[in-house]
Amino acid sequence: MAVPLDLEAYLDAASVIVGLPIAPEYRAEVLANLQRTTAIAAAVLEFPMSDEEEESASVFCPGEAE
Amino acid sequence: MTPVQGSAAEIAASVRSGATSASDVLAAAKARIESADGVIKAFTDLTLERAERQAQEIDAAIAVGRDPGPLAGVPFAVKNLFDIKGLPTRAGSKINRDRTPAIEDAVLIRRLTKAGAVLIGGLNMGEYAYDFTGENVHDGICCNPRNTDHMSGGSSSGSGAAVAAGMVPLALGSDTNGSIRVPSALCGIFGLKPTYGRLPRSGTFPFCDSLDHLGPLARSAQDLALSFDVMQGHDAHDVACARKPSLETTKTLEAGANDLRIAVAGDYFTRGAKPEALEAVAKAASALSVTREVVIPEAARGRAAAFVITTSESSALHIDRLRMRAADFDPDTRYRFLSGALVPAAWYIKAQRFRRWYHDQVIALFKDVDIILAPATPCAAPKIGEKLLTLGEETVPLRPNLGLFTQPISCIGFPVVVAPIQREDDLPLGVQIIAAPWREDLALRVAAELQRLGVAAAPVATGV
Repeated sequence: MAVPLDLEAYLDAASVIVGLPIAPEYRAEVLANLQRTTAIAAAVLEFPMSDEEEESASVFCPGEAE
Repeated sequence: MTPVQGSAAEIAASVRSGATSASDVLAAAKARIESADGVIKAFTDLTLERAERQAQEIDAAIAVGRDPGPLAGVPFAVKNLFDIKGLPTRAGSKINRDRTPAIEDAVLIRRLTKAGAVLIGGLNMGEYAYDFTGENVHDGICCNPRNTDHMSGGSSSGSGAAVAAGMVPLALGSDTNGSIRVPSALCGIFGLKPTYGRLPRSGTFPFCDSLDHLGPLARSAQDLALSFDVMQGHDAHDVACARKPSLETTKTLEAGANDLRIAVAGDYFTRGAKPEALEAVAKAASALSVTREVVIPEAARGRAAAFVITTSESSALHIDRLRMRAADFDPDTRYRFLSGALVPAAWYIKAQRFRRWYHDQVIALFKDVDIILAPATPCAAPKIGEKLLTLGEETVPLRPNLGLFTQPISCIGFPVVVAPIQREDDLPLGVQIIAAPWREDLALRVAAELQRLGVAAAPVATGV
């Protein structure tokens, strides 16, 4: 599958915002993996959930310290 | 059979009775490592000096009638993401070797040591635990002791290989997406991934906090139970560690499985596997007279959520190292960490929300069932260096697909024991025995029953 141009643009913009320059020799592999991640994430993102089902699996318990 | 190649239970009984000394067991472990590990590459560090000291203390305690603990003289080793006092915790990386040496052992090492077990070293692993193969560019490829042309599986590669090869009867590993269960299956040994939050991760180098679990690998269900029982208990330094009463799994281990409602996982867990992986599950099910099938709903999406959570959290953890030392990463992890750092927050949060929903569906399923059986991997150990997996007409990338059946379960933290199914003249496979949260005792009972029935077994691999 060809990499959509906007994903390449996203990679370039996001790496600037995140402050993580991607060296040219790593770029093709990173782009391919980002494409794969996009496809995998789509399965989660398209799953319909209501506002009432907004609880995240990560839980924060105030009042306890190490 | 040398003194180190018995089970942990047999070694401890022998040492406690005075029939064998802890020092003799340690010497046998050392000899086995010297003869086999040049090829297998399970160990990255040996801690023999402290081990010899501890073995002598155990022998001295027994000589004066003191009890050195239920695991007296049992040699064990740990994946090298566990802190070992005096060593930098490398977590399979080159970069971490620059860390300050650990000032104390990880909590689980301390608990095993208190029970009389003797730490003999740190074990090879995939870099920063992001691996299913056992390949590591810095420390070498950890081979499968049952056939050294084949993968050990990862990322607890050294843990699986050292136990299968009879270098130690017990090892500790970590499992975020399958890293205890995959090497257990490929190396043909028993492994326990406990409930998320059961065993404290204090003093270990993390991979993905939301999904990281620690657990034991061994050659019998009894040894998993023995070690699990002495490692349980809350520790405040791991904020995910739950305040749950400890189980005494050794006491119920021989209770059999007749009173348990057991089913085989259908649908998702029957697709994308080689026939032999499904035959291993069928063999276990048949031995237990299980005919029922259940469907774990949305398992594929559960796997996708685990993938998104893993890539996001682990890349955030490593972002400074990626900025400063990208060239020092293993090429097989580097591009995945770099890519994960660019994943939008909304994707990660949706994955966490989905994970909660998915957890609730599977909890509901367990109202009607105690144990679900599923394959551990889609195939037996592939050859080292293989990149693709052929399933019938379809060819898929090998590396991610080794976790096809483990990821949907660790995503929601349910406990799993892998039971090894040996095959004549062929490499073994593993069966996942999945229980409801906090019921490790039930999964261990089923593993022990499969072992008693002769269906599951983990003999020492003697070919190397």
